[in-house]
Amino acid sequence: MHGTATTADLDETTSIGDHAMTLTQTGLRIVAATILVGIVIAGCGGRLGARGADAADTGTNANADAVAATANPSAEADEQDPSAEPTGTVEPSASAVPATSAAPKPTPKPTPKPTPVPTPNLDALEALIDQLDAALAADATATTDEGSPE
Amino acid sequence: MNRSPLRFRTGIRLTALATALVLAGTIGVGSALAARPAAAPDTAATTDARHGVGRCAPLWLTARADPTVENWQAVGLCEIDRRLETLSVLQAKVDASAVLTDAHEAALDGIIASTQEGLRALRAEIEADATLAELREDITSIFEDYRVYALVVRQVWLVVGDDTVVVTADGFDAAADRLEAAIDAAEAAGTDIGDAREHLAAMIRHVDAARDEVAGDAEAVLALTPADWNDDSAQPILREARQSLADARGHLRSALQEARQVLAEIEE
Repeated sequence: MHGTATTADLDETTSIGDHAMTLTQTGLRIVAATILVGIVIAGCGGRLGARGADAADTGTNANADAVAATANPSAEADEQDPSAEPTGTVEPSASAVPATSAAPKPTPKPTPKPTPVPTPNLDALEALIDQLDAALAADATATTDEGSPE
Repeated sequence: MNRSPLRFRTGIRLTALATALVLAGTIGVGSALAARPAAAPDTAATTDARHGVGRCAPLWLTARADPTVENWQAVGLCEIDRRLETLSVLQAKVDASAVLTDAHEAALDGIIASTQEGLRALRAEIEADATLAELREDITSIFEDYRVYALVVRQVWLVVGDDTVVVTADGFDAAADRLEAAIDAAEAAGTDIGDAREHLAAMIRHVDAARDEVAGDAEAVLALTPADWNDDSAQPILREARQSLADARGHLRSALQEARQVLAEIEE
């Protein structure tokens, strides 16, 4: 049995090779899936990080300019994230793949969006009022630090 | 000869390596994004405890127990140094303020700069003093000729407060226009606006009252000198300015509540 390969040996070798190839392909799929998961996690991390930074910035540079108009809640969502989850409204370009077997459905007309009415950013005003609290507190304790030469 | 197991192991190694790299990269990117520094808090909001009256208290005790020139010099230098540090904090606050008018900022800059200059000159005199009589006079001057805490600190905070009221009131003026437009739009859309217009009118009244409370206060406070404090003429002006500022704050808080009521009415 030494030195020459029998048919059974070759079959076994081929079988092991196929098995290894299958496992290698499985491995590559795992890599692809891991990369995909990694991209998703990184994306979520970026969004959460950005949100946290925004929250921390609140009130640090408050002035009258900060009282900028923000659209109403629905309009704000539309402006900030055009790729947000689709609503029940079907956009004209949304049906890219036509159904082949079913009867053609009538395309619903796009729902007209109401013009957003800007509302003031009251949080910016509240931050300014909070600064008054700080000024009054600092004023209240100042005199006690004066001391006396007596 | 049999290379399939080798390829299998190589594949597994490559898989493990790639997985590790991707995970490490993901964690690194996520951590970097999540670890972005938050905005620094407003640390200058109150006077640092290191600048407080207690900082030099041990030196006062020592000098009274052992009244040597060196001990009283230490007292004088400590009292001047804590004032100079406080003035630096105040200067930074004035420089960073987004609410001060140009005229008020210039006036505060002038008060702080002249006080710093005088205290530095006095510090040199104290270092050169050779007798207890000279030291007693110069240490008294630290208090009576400058009134850093009793007057200058209060001038900065009261004027910053007054200008904050004006800026906030201006912000409410802009808010009133937008709230009125929002009420009109809601009414045109058939929404029951309830008492929205009444709340808006109340908001405007509170804003006007806040503005009236502090009108002219900053100029009166900025005109005060250490001599006014020493003859007791500054105290009533400072007291009234503080009360006006507190009342203005109350009006602005009420205005904020009214504005929120407006939004609540038209969003119901």
